[in-house]
Amino acid sequence: MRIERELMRGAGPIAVLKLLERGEMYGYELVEALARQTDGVLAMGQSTLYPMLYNLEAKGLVASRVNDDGPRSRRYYRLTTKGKRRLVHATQQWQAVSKVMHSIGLTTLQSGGVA
Amino acid sequence: MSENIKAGAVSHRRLTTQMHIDQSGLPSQAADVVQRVVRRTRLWPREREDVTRELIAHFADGLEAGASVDQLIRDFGDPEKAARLIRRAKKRNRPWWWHTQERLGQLLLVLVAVYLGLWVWLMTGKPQPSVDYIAQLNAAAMAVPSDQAAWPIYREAAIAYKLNQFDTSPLYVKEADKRLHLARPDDSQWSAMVAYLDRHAELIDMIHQGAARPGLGFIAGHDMDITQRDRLAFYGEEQATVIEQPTEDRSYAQQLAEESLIGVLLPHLGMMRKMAELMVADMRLAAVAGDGARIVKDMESIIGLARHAREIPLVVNDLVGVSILSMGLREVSDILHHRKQSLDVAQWIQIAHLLASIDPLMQVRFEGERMFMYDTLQRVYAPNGQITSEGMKYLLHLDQLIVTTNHNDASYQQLSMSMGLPLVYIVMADRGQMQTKYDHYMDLTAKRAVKPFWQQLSEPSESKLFVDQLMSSNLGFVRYWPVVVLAPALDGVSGTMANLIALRDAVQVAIALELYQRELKQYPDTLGQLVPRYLPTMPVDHSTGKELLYRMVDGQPMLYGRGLDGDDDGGLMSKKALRALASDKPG
Repeated sequence: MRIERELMRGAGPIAVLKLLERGEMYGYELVEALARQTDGVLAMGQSTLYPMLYNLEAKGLVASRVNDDGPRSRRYYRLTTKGKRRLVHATQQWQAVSKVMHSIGLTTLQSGGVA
Repeated sequence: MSENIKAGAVSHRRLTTQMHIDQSGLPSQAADVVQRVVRRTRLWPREREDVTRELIAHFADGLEAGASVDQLIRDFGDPEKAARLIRRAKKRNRPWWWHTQERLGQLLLVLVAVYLGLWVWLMTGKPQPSVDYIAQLNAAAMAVPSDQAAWPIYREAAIAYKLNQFDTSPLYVKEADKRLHLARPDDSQWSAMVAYLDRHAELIDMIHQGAARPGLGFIAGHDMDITQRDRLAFYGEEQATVIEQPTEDRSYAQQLAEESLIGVLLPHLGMMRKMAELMVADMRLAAVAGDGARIVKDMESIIGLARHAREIPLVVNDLVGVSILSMGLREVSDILHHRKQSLDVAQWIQIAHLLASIDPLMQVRFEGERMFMYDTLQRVYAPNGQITSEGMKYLLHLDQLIVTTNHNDASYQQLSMSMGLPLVYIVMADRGQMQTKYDHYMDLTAKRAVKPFWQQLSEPSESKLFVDQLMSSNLGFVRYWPVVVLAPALDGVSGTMANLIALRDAVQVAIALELYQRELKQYPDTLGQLVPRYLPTMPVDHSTGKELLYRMVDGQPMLYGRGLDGDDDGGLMSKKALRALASDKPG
């Protein structure tokens, strides 16, 4: 399913923050995780992922480092303290929205899915 | 050496970026995508290197994960869009000083654009003077029928007797302190003065004829407007044909200046003062000869000359009128003191009536001064009220008319004024505001001028305070500087008028005392006894508003005031005041 741009604009960055909650990841890793864990729903154009990461970095929500170990040089991204706080806040908001949407019959609650 | 190192560093970065791509081992299509994206980002070299390495890693990871090149390129998306988004995002990560610099640069660009736009708009504006203030100034003169105008007579007298270079010094005696007084019968110069007046008897008659006319009829204008005949009267034969004509290539600003009200010439005033001097000298001669009728005729002509001088409603004209009247009044005072028997009772009554008739000539008028400002405003501002480049240049030309400036400085000032026009527009008041401010100043001046002089002395001058306030504030001065520059200092004119009125009133009282004495063979005990038979009302001391003082000294009446200090000094005068009285030559 293709998600409208306005929805993606809000969901995409939060999804990335959520994925980084587990630990640092590099660019392509994030691309794969987004596609895999969301069944392709949040599979954004890959050219938009990197700008998104740079924007999150500019806002201080993520930090990056270059790791030259391994087969190639990769830039890894991790959540900052500020990013964690933002994630908590966003989670609360999304849960509230989800609850409301369910109450009006727009969604159904699924187990083990929505964070 | 350092330049080579710098260039080397930049090309090293480019090489590094390209090297990364070349050494990445990516298929050419993927490498091409990376190269296109990075090139289009137009980022700093270090940023480009970071992006290059990250995108290389992205494609390499994708290939390693089993995706095909085509799929990776397809999933990556539009390289141009990617470059745009990456550039925008990367710039957000730049240091705070860069962002500050960026904002300031944008602000500066906006300001420059606005400034230039404003400059262009202002440069298109042009003053379009629509009111002919010169015609308004000449309205009274133009209303005088030609057969009733005095000017043609004065002019022919001036031409015949070369009044432009007329020397009245034979009429005066120079004292040891270099002051001049009109020759008296006991002066050695007296006979020379008599002979001089005899030689100019016809001129004196012509002045009488002219002064008897109801109006002057002299039309004021610029140098190029002066007729050939008038030019002959003002400048003599040598200068009569020299006419300052407008140059072919004169700028619009020059044209504005050369046609302005401020450039109008009044060369007739000097001539008329000389004529008045002749009248005064003739009065003295008539008094010595005991010719009362001639004294009355001379005084009538002096009043006529004063009335003609005032035909154009400018303060300078009023002041020349004051000067002429003062000359006549002082001579009447001298006659009262030394030769009062030269007039009989009927003639003194005639003189008294003449002096009573000059009330309208003892008022200062400001409408001409207002016209100076209004004319200036219509030459500085466009009809919609905006300041103009031509208008600013006109003000500069005005400055050159009044104060000589170096031509090169003027050119520089003109240029800087044009470029600075938007600043002037922002800071300087518009036409309406300027006129309102000026009118307020003139209203304050006019309001003060009609108050009794003693009241003016006891109150601070609101008009002076107004100008001082403007000048003390930097913003006020800059915003209204034409008002500050063109607002005439008119408070002193009230003092001049008050002196004239005081002199006239004193002479009136002195005449009344003389008439009283002639009828009753004695002087009154108090001035109140003169009213109403010899004086309609008792004048006051214009310095204090209180009654004039009077006492007898050696059998002669002395009339005096309290002076500015308000004390009754018994009529004692300072040496300075006495010397001023002794000097007859008009200043």
